[in-house]
Amino acid sequence: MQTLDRTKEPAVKAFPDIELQEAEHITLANGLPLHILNSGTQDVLQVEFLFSAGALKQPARLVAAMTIEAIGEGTDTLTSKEISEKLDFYGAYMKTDSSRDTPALVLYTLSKHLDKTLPVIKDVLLNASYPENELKTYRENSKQKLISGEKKVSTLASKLIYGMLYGENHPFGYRVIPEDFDTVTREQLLNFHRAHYRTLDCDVIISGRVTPEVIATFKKEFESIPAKISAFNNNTPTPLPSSDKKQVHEVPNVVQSAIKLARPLFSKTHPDYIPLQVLNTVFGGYFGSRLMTNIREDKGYTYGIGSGLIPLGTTGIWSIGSEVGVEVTKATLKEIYAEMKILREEPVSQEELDTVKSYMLGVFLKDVDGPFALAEKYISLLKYDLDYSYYQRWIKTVKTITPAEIQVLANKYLREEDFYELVVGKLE
Amino acid sequence: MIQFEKHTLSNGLKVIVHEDRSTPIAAMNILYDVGARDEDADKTGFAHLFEHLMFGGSVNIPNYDEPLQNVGGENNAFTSNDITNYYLTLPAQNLETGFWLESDRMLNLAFSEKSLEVQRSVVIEEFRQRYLNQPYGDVWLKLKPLAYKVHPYLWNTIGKEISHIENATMDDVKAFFKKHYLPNNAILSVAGNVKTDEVLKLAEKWFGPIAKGEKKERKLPVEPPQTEERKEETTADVPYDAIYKAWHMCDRKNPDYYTFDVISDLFSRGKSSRLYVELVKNKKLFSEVNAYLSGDDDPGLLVIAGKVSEGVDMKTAEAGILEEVNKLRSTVVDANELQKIKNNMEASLVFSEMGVEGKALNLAIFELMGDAEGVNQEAEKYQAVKVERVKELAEKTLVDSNCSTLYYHAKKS
Repeated sequence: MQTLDRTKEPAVKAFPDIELQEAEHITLANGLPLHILNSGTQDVLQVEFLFSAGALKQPARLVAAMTIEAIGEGTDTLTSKEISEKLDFYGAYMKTDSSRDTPALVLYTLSKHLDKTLPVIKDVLLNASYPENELKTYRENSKQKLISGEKKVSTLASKLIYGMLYGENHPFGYRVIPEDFDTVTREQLLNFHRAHYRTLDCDVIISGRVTPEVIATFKKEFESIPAKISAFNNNTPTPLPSSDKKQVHEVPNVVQSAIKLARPLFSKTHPDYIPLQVLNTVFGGYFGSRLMTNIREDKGYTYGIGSGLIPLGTTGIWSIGSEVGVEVTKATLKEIYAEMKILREEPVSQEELDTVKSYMLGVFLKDVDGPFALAEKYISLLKYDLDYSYYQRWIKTVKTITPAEIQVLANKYLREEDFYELVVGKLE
Repeated sequence: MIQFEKHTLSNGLKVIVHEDRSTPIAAMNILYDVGARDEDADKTGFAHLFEHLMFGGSVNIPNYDEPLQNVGGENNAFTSNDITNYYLTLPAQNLETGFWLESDRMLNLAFSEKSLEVQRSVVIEEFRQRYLNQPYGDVWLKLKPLAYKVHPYLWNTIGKEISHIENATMDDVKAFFKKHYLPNNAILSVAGNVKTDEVLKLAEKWFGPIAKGEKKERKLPVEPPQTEERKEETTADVPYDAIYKAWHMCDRKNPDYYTFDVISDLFSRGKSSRLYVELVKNKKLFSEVNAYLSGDDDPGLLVIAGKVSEGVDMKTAEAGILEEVNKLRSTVVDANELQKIKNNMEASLVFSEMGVEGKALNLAIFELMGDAEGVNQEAEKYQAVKVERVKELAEKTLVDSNCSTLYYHAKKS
């Protein structure tokens, strides 16, 4: 028998062509658009009602987020307990997503129980009543969660950095304070709900085992409800960044500081967005990235460090974050800037770039595995008014981008002077 | 229902394969039957530190991550009280790369002094980030030694104290590897777009030649029954008081485990659950409250944890919890309410079988408990739970003399 040569890597097989299952579309008689990803082996459904009723549309601070978060607190005919009980009994689950730009109401249910669970969601969408007694508890508990959450340096840093980049009065830059939960009135919630939710001004993304019965249930429940579907619009007002580009938010008695560095960017529709994702991966987007290799694996300053592009409305940011020992906070900042400089001055090797490409394509393959993942991929197109050609461009760009192009991007976007720097904790 | 095939190599490595043609990827999971409970009391945190070192290079492969990323793969690992688990996913046609990498690091490690030094410091930062530098982060560091007096569950996987990690030497680490990282102490599971016979061939090729070792029988000190109520007070810089109550319960293989799981769900699963409705909504004693099982192999804990609402006294809040506990001890649960919990369990199980990564992990975990087939019997076991047994167990277990309570006070400014 031949001895096994363990130093030799098994032959690497060519990457498979990625066949991305696309959503099918049905428009109900009332205009409500359904986007369907029928796939998977399990008898499950995820139903996402996606609205563009985020902070950009709100009349006053916190109204948008509170409207969606408290939507399940009661309807004209059901208390919050009854809503939960009806869903819980069928093992179903309702989740709200109060993202800044595209809030959503999501139902997870076994397909066989949709006829029982969908009417509950419909009631919430059409008849949420925000009863004052339930709101009171919601307000108090939300305040407590906010205050507790901000005791964590990384959570606080993530919030403050948006203020630095967008300005404290911008809908994306404003930091919610506990008092806001008291200021928002029931009337404001009812009005906002009436304007955006009761009109069913949304996209519905249905994924999982989508049988003809599932579609029939949607028709039965929603087709006769008057809907007012408006054109997608998340035009974002121009940010007013802080003039103080380096800030330290002192927190006493911490053993670690949270570091956030970020720069203003654009949304996914910009031609440089996809190539920048490759640069970002090299820089701080995976375990083998420059930042992880240097700051965790060589220096041992942190449990983890990473960077990412975050699209927001028609804008976006590029952000780097980590929690590091107080005594090495300064040293970490220095290393982050040094890594930026190296990427500007030296082309990344073809070998390293090839690793990043394979890694990104592999992750893409995993990201389109299963019905909910496919829905996620489609939703991230819908949110930015893109179509599936975006992913063809993505795959092509990842496969073909060169070290020289990466270096050009680094010189354009990875400049120290464009980044805002925030330390929450201590900078010794 | 997860279909699978099972095979044991001559060196004792168990191999489980599940074919799923609906995906282009494959997941590979290697579970080592070693966790924090197997550590010496004066060298805690080793199983977890070791998990970090497993990425520092093996005898024939200097870097673990890079070749995997090169074929489009991703990986991670976790350590618990009971096990150390490594998992990766990759495009199915490159599965052999996973076998090459995982078999080499089972064969022998080759990390440097520097790697040990760096990972010690990474783990110390992890200790600070998770346990010291966030509100309520040190709860388990306090609660476990209160609930356990002799069983190794009394320390956390991160370790009892930072000094144990700081003092870890190369010799310690090598001895740990030799003792635990054996083919006959591991379970390999593969799920995804693969063919069973090909996976078994790969397993034979890459893992077959690794010599089996001496597997020592686990002899852990048994935690004596608790006979007196235990209480501890602590004060920290947190905004609100919190309360944690832990009752000893059965081990994972005991049929009563499912009844305990139902009890914790009756307490706090979903917004129609007892603790949420009564203590958060009606009485407004807590801003949030949860019940859960520690889920350990050896006898574990049923925990109720809550953040006390502003202006509410700790004793009043605790009395609220005890009132709900006593209801369960004195009144048989309504059949409809139990049915709700069972329906929830059924749905959770269906949802949990959606990805190959989760399926590979579940197969390995159930094999460790005795038989991978157990993964397909979970639904039945939950359906079999009886309202009478819920009451019996609550009466027997949820008593003060079996309870450890941590009162976590907010420092008054």
